Amino acid sequence: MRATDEDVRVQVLLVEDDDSIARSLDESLRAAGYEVRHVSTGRDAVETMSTGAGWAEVVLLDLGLPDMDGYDVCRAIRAESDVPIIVVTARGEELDRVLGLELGADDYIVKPFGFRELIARIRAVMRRTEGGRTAVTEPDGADDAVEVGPLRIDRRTHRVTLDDGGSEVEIALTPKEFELLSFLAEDAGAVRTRSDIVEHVWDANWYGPTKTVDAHVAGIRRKLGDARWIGAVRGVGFRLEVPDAGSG
Amino acid sequence: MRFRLLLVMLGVVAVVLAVHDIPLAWHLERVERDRFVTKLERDAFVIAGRAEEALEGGTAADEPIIAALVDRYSAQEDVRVAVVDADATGVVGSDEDVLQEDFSNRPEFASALRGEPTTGERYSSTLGEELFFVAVPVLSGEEVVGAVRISAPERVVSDRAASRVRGLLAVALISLAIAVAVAWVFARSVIRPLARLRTATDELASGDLDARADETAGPREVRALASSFNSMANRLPLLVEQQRAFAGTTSHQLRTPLTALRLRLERLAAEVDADPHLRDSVQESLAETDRLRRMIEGLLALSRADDAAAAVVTVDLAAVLRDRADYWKPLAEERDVTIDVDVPPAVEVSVVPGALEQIVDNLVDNALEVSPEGSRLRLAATAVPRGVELHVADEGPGLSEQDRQRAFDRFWRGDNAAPGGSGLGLAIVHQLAAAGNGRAELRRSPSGGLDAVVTLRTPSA
Repeated sequence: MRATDEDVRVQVLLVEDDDSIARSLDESLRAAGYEVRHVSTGRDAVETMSTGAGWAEVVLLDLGLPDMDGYDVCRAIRAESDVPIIVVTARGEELDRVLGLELGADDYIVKPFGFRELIARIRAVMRRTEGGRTAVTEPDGADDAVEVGPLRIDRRTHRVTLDDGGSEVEIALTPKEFELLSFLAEDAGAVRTRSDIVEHVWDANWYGPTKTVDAHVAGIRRKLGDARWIGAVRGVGFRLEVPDAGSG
Repeated sequence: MRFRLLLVMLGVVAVVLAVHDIPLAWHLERVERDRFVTKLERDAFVIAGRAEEALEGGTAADEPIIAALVDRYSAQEDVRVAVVDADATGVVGSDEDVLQEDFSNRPEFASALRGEPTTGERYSSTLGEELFFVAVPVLSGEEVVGAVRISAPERVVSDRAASRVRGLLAVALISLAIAVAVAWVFARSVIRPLARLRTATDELASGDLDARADETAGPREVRALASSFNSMANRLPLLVEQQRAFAGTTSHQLRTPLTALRLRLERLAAEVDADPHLRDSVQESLAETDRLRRMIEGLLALSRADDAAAAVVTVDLAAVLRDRADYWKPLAEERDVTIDVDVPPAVEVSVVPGALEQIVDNLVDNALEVSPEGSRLRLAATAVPRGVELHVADEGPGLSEQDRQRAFDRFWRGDNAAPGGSGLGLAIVHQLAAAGNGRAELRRSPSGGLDAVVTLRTPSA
């Protein structure tokens, strides 16, 4: 799992007071090819950003810091720099999110998150800000569409079409079905675990019936007209695959 | 309590009346008897005075005068009168058969003719009843010239005494009635504030934390009790709030160590990728962290359901059931389970916002878990008094009576429940139903499977 395609190490400022989380994140991020600087207080974070300005390319900011209110840290960093900030919180409630994002955070991730989900968020934020901050109006339509066989998923317009032997059929999905399908399509053929799906499509703090993912998968399968589009891997999760044209 | 107060009051008054009235009645009876004797004696002397001349002279001319007197007197008083001469031979009487009869064998005449007035009672074989009598001598100077006897049946005397006792009894009954009335008013003044206090307690027990007792009504002790109740009721929301806050904060706090655990396991998973045995073991540990996560989120969902009790909204149950059935149908079909929806065109129910979808989803989720291939799952809504019953019935193996009771407990899980469940789904259903003043229960469906029934309030009820 490499941070970027180029051989340049992305620098991450990790603001986290919980040592155990900080150490494992540090190790995992380094193993994944990131350069990490860890501070455990809000004051250190603000200081690092103001003195060594321009060092960090991404800030991972835990909102529950011992010395300062996380929102104040967020505002202080934003006052100094345009660096993407991903807020880490144990409280997934609406209020925290709105506040976090309004104060200048670019994304949030709620505990207990998995490492894969964290990497996905970091990449997404960096992609957005690299394009967005240099040229706000730059259309990046091509990158937002994914094609898997005859299936085309357009993230920008939230449209899904299926090439049914020459004629394009539009598939009407609910927002959650769309999120699920596009998450599977990001890495077609690879198995996505249930907890990854829940975390990405809902979030780590979501609670619902255990078969919610299955119900959504069944709904998408029916709308695509072929159950083989989404294969189940027993006890693990689901993967998107193009049905064998010959038999189906 | 009201009847006990009444009984105590009645008992006390009855004992007082008995202690007082029984000797009084006995005394009254004796007084009455003495008065009657005195009266008869006086009358007998009057008659004797009138009879003196007639008996002395032996002239028959005066007899009709005495006879008329005796007749008038005996008619008036329901008594019998007999006048005898010195030889104890009947001269005048209220009855015809007195004339010429020999009374010398009657002890009262014998003593009267000796000059001694006599009173007493004896059994008259002639009349066949107990007699009460007074006999006095007729004196002419010092000489006894005859005797007068007035007799009355014993019952005349006892009737007079009885009427006195009846009077006494009437007074006693009136006293008792007054005592009952006073006790009733007193009992009410104690009971009514107690009853109101009880209503407040019931309201509080059923979850209305704003219920308070009236501290201004009733006796001082009841007011003190009401005041204690109110201070308890004032503390209760605080305690409930603390408990809720505890569940919430704890769950939030658990997320941080859980994150650390998960990140470390993921690190480990990457390291041991080459060893299939270790890799599986780490993967299973990761699955356990996911289960822990679900439990934490379930507990938070439960504490949110606790908080939701405030506002209710009106929702069309039929529309929600049809919508959720459409949502679950693709998955059910994959598992070869048919979902039947049996609802009227529209059924309005009163629930906490968003609760109905969660309730139906949790119940269908459970039902699908146990539904065998080829079976049917029935969603229905039926009207019941003051509410609507929502049914989710499966054709699975069902649960024992005991398990059906316990299934709503937090963390309860069936013997063959799917792995990864939190054991909180039904607890949340129960909490969400209760938040809208409804209730949830599990019954046996006709097929032997489980029929999950949630009774919801209709908006008007």
